[in-house]
Amino acid sequence: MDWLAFARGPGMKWAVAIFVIGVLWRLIGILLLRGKKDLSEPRSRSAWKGLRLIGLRSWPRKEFLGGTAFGEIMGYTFHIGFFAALFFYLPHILFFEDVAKGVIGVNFKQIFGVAWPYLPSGIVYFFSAVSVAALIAVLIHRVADPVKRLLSNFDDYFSWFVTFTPIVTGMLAYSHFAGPYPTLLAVHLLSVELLLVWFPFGKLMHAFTIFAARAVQGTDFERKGASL
Amino acid sequence: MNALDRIGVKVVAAADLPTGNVKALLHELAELLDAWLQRGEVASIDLRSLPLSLGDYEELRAALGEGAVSASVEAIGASEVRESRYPGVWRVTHRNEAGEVVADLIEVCALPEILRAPVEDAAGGLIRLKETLQ
Amino acid sequence: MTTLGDSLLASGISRRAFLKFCTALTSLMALPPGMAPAVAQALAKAKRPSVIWLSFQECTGCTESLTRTSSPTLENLILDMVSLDYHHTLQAAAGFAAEEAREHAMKEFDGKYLLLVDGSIPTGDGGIYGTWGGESFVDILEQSVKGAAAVVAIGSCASFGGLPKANPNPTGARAVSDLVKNKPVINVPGCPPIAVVMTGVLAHYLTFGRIPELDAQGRPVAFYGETIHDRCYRRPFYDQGKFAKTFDDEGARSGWCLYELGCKGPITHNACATVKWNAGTSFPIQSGHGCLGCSEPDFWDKGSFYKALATTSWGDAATLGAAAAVGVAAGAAAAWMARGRQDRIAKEK
Repeated sequence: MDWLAFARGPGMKWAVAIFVIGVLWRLIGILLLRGKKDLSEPRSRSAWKGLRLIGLRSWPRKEFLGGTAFGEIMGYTFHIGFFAALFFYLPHILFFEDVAKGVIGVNFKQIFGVAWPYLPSGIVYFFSAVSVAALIAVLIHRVADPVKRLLSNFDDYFSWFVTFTPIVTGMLAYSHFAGPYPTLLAVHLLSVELLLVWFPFGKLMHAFTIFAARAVQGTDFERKGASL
Repeated sequence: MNALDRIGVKVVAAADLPTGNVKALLHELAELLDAWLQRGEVASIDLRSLPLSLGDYEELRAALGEGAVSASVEAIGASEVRESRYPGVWRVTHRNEAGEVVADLIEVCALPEILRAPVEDAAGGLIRLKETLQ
Repeated sequence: MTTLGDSLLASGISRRAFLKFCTALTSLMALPPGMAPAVAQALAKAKRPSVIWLSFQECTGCTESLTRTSSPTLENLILDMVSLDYHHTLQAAAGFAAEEAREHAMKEFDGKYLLLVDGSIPTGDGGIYGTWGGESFVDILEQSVKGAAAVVAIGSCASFGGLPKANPNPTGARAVSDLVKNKPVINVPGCPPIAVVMTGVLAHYLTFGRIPELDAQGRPVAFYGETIHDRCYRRPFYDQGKFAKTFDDEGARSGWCLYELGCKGPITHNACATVKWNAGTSFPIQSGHGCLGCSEPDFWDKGSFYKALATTSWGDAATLGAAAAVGVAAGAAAAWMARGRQDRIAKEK
């Protein structure tokens, strides 16, 4: 069984399809729910100003920083490192360009040369290492803290695993460490496919839902006249 | 042809950069030379089996330098034997009749095999010599 | 059969020249140079084997590559080492005389001859898409392997099916190893294979009387053990992230990595980056063109030669469109069911 041929062929095709189905199912399913009708007199007629909450929630209020600072800092470290590696490494950019060309018919390569600029590969490697370190730090924290350990379920650990594995296997493939490159590449692609398939069904959906959730709450508060 | 002439051509330098492999090679030669002195073990290294860039070959030539002996052999093409500045370490380059390199070796020994007169050839030569004397 | 040592001596080369030849042969076979005396000993005693070369559904590129082995004397000595009793394209005899020569060689050296095959074998419609003198390639191959000691599948067509097997494979082309199950098969893929790789593999068999160590795809590890990417001189640029965008831009002229222009070097096993072509002159990447992956199975159907390795794997717009439709429908259905439950709860209050 040629794992690389599978990973580059039907594996990726089905993983992306399941990702699309799952994300749309969950998003549409949430957005079409009926909210409770608010019959009170609105304090502010420009509820859209509440959309500011999307940005305001990016950092906790200082009253809460004591307990949450570690998670916030580690969270940002991980996400920045992860996005740098995912969106600013040329082979990944080429992948997204290809999807854009196929789906919306826009050939970014012809218009802009490359869709967006890319980082030197060594820098990408550094960012990947940083995000891996952050992931390990939060896992240790989750397991060591008794309250967090009590609250953690399969979704927490498995979502961590499917995020951790693509970054690590990507670093292994790039550095040609521990095995022939075609095998390392196949393992990296398969781990990405696992991430894509699990994504819609666990807490990774926060990538889409936080914006909707904050928007709803922000407009609600603004309408009621509550401070954001 | 004017338009073609206006296309600038840049010679790629990447293939010429030394990679640092020569240093490792010299370390290995030191060990092989030591083994020959201590235990009489002869050895040879096939340079074409190593990842050496053009810059590495230049660096190697400079590092080995030239010793007391240089010889050329004509046997289905030319072969060149050069002792390096370290006696016992020889650079042997075999070429075919078209002048292309067919083997490029570093030998650690008293004398590369190609320079010794083989018994079979000498025996054949003796027969020819005796025939001429008759 | 006379020994190879005898026939070489008869051709007038001295012992010294024979030893030089063995040194070169050892290097050619990618063996450690210390093995040259063992090679000399083995060669002197080796019998001059019969080799039968069958050309099937091929473009003759493999024969062209082999006959371009650079030197007049040294590499050709290897070909002189074999008794090439039948080569469909090269030999002077033709027609019935040629086929008689083949049958005669097969009978005389039964169980001992080496069968070289280039080109794929068309099996569609009873094998009528490839015939000689009324016999299909399928039948000729079946008869010819019976008395063969080993089979060498030369080129990607014989090794994996090659171009004829590319989608939609109208002739039902198959690889040698698909049809030959009870004899050792060595695959020497490439489109064409590098000349010295072909001669090195033959030399190994002729010298040691056994097939060299093979990888999972039946290819000799000595030549196909590494990927092009592993030994590419442009790796420093790949590692730094310096990629050429078009074939004539600044990056291309500075010799940057060709990943974005579709180079399949990272997943292709061959000796191009070290042995190179035409007596070490160059290879595709050194000449500014990405690797096509020609020594891997089904390389014709693995996506465009000019699209990067990271692309072309996400499926197609139609599949995603269908997936989007299914997702939206599922979401709407879930929301409708939830709303129904909300209404029921509200009614109960």
